[in-house]
Amino acid sequence: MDNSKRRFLKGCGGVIAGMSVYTVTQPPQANTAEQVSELKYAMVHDENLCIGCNACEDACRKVNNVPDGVTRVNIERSGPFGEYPNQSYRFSRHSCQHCEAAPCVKVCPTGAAYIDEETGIVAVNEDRCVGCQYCIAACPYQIRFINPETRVADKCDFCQQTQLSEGLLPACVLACPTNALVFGNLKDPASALVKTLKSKPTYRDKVDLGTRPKLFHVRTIDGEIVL
Amino acid sequence: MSITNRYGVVLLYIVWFVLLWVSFPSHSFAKETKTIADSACLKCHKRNGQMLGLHANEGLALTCEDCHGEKGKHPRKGTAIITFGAKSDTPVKTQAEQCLACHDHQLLAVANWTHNVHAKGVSCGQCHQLHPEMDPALLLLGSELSQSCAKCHLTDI
Ligand code: SF4
Ligand code: SF4
Ligand code: SF4
Repeated sequence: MDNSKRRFLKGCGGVIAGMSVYTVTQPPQANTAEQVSELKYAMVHDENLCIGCNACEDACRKVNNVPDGVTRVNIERSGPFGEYPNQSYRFSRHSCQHCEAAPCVKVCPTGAAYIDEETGIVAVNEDRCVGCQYCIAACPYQIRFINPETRVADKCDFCQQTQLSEGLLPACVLACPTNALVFGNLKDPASALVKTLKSKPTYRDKVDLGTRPKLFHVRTIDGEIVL
Repeated sequence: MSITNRYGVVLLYIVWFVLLWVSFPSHSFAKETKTIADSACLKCHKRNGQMLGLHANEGLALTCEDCHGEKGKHPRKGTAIITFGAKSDTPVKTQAEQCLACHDHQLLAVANWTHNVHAKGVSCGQCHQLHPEMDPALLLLGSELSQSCAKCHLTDI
């Protein structure tokens, strides 16, 4: 047998072996990749409606069993702006952005960090996570943490397991007294989410990184003008 | 460290602790509410006038009139008596001024940032109560606190 034929056959074997290994190790979520889903969840935080009450964080902690000391959502407060007694504060939500091009998913060596193709939710498969913390280092928004009780990576999953599976809205959305949080399907033009996005100017954090985040913010119009 | 030096340090500690102990007032404030409880106002306001909180402390030497204003023609109509809380007829500004006469707004802001945003339009008495032994607003923790915001800030969809 000449050399080139031999190399060709060897190559074929390699490809077949590689494919079979791939089918064994690919995450179950990847099976639906070909179908185009009608669902894509996203969230808006209206900083003008937010009063910084922290009810969202409290509800999330309760519903998702988040231990003290860590949190899936944080309302960052800045201020006061203006002179007493005409003072105001600004509130900005920090939680997983459910990036379309999620760096955390790209670096995860075990496939524990994954994008649910059906809903667009970036979630953590607890059984696969080995706690290597690559995702924590890779997330440009610094919202991932190791849950001190389960010892695996944790973050907001839009209440995928706790609320959405029951047909309920995320806990933080339900808890917000001022309706500052709007959650819904980006692909449904009749959804409250799309209506909000089309009626209010919004911004997203660090878009220049190419992460394509799905957490939108309505910027505070109050106090001094920020350039 | 030499032995004498070590004893010196121990002695200093003992002296310091004794001084510290002596410097604390020895009686609790339940006893100190006596003066305000003897006030003439209590003749009528036995039930709604009982002053058990920190503000009754004898050291502060507060009288009912210090907060509620001069008695004037009270209880006849048309008096300027200042009342507190959400149901009060006294203007919010007047109510707040009574508290701010002693309480510095900057210190209040350090204690809790929400004081700043409620400086106009909300009176102190809408969240705080001075007459009970413990102000219920100070007992709110965690989700109880965030739920108390919802009492006013609730928006229906
Ligand atoms: S915000 Fe961070 S954790 Fe969430 S999807 Fe993006 S990279 Fe991953
Ligand atoms: S969507 Fe669910 S998991 Fe995410 S912050 Fe809200 S309550 Fe927490
Ligand atoms: S519950 Fe709503 S209003 Fe309160 S801090 Fe969260 S987003 Fe803001």
